[in-house]
Amino acid sequence: MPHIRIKALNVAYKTHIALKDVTVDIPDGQITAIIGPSGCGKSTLLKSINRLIDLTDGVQVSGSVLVDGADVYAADADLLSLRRKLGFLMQRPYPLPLSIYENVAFGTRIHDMDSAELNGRSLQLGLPSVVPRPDSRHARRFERARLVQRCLEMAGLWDEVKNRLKQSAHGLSIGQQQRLALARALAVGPTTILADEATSALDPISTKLVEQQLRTLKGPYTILMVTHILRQAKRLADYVLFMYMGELVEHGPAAKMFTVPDRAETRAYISGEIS
Amino acid sequence: MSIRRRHVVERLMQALMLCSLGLVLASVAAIIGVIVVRGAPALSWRMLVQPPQSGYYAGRGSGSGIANALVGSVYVAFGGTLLASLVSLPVACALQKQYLPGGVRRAITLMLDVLWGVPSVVTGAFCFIVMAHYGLRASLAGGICTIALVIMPVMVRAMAEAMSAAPAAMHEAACALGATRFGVTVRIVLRQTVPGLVTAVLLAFGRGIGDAASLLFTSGYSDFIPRSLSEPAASLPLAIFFQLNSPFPEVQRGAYAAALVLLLIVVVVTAGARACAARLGIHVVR
Repeated sequence: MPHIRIKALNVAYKTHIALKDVTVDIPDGQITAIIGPSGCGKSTLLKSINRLIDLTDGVQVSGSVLVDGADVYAADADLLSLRRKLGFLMQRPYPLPLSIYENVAFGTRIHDMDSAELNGRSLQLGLPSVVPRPDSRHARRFERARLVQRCLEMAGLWDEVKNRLKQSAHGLSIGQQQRLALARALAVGPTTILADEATSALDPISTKLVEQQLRTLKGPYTILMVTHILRQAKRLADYVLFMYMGELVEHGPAAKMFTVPDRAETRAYISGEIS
Repeated sequence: MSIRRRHVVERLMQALMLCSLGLVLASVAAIIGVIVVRGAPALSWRMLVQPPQSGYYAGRGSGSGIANALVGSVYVAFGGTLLASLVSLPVACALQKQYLPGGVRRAITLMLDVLWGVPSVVTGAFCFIVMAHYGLRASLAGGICTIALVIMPVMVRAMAEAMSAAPAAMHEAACALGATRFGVTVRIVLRQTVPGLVTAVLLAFGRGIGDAASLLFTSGYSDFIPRSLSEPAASLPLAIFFQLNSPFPEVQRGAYAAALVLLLIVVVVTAGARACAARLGIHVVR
């Protein structure tokens, strides 16, 4: 069963209907791109998966989103552990008002991960196993430092920041901040990465770096990205969702969607007639 | 509008702004100038470390110490600011949109604004009635509580404003990692708003240390340095008030010296707090 299944999802902001009856399974271990013109509900779809739309006033949701089989809109849904499974990259990265090191460690602290958990997470990220030590402040600090380094390496940022981990994260360039956000998300152990136009505020070189990292992460991670840049979707996506006016018009493998889409709207968007 | 006219309007507006700025700066400079010119000659070390020997109205020369008022004011202002901070911070957090609906927030904000507009002598009288009801005498503790009540509204408002200016996206970023509302507030929002919170505390402190009317009934006045919370305590603003009422010019000069001391306390505290805020706020995202 796929990690993420969306069933009959409707979202409205007060009177404005943002999503109409969206049903789709997101394929595991691939990069799925959500494309479509501005205001078509791409970001809303993404944010309704980790329920970040809850932070918006006057939003109404019906339908269900299943993450690993559990409905995130169920009354007893455990939102905190749910969000842990879904790493999120925003359009404009926002470093937390902490040092670079503490930005990455933030998630491990809020989830109060003990040294066994931290060690387990490092193992998942491919670090060699170390003899587990009994949980203590010292052991946690040691395991956390290993994990932070590994996450920064996986986000492709370690070499640039290894000598200034204690400095403020807001001193990083915006491209570095986005990779820091990626490292921050990786630390808590997500299965999926949601990226909301994660490169739109970045310069071309940073964009390329972030794209590279996303490409290396797919496989173990399911990546769902919103983009309004068609070329980016073509470069990265294995699977494509095309949205238009709040509806999921068509979805399918990228090779088919970009060459022989079924629907006229998709053809028009891909050929550049509508944008 | 022609280009020429637009230039004229631009110049005119600039001139108006500079005029207002000049007016404000001139008033501030004049007040500070008078205090320094009249107060500095009367200021002496002896005055700072000695309580008055024979009351303010008649105390002359070496007898007109203000140690009682200086210590009393420091106790009352720091105590009141500390107490108000302990109450205001949670209230300011609760006033964030994550915790209370808009209507309730607006109602509470309105009440705080009204409370801020109440003359401090009224707050003092209210506290005095409460104290009288429980049979309490004018005391340092009464003064601290009264000052806390006087400065709490402005502190809450300034703190809440500072906190609501924290970027919503930062909130989202922390939430997306699985942080709770409370976790985001404490670990992220408070850190991000350290400079604003310090400003709020300083604003309130400045108001608290300068307030005379509310202390008149509550901390009272005494020629002695208070040794416990239940003893009455003098304060610099009241000392200034009493000294200015004296017919003797040298006693009046003592009032300016006391005002200068008050000014210096505020300057030192502000500079110290700003330095602390700069250290605490190094990670603030701008």
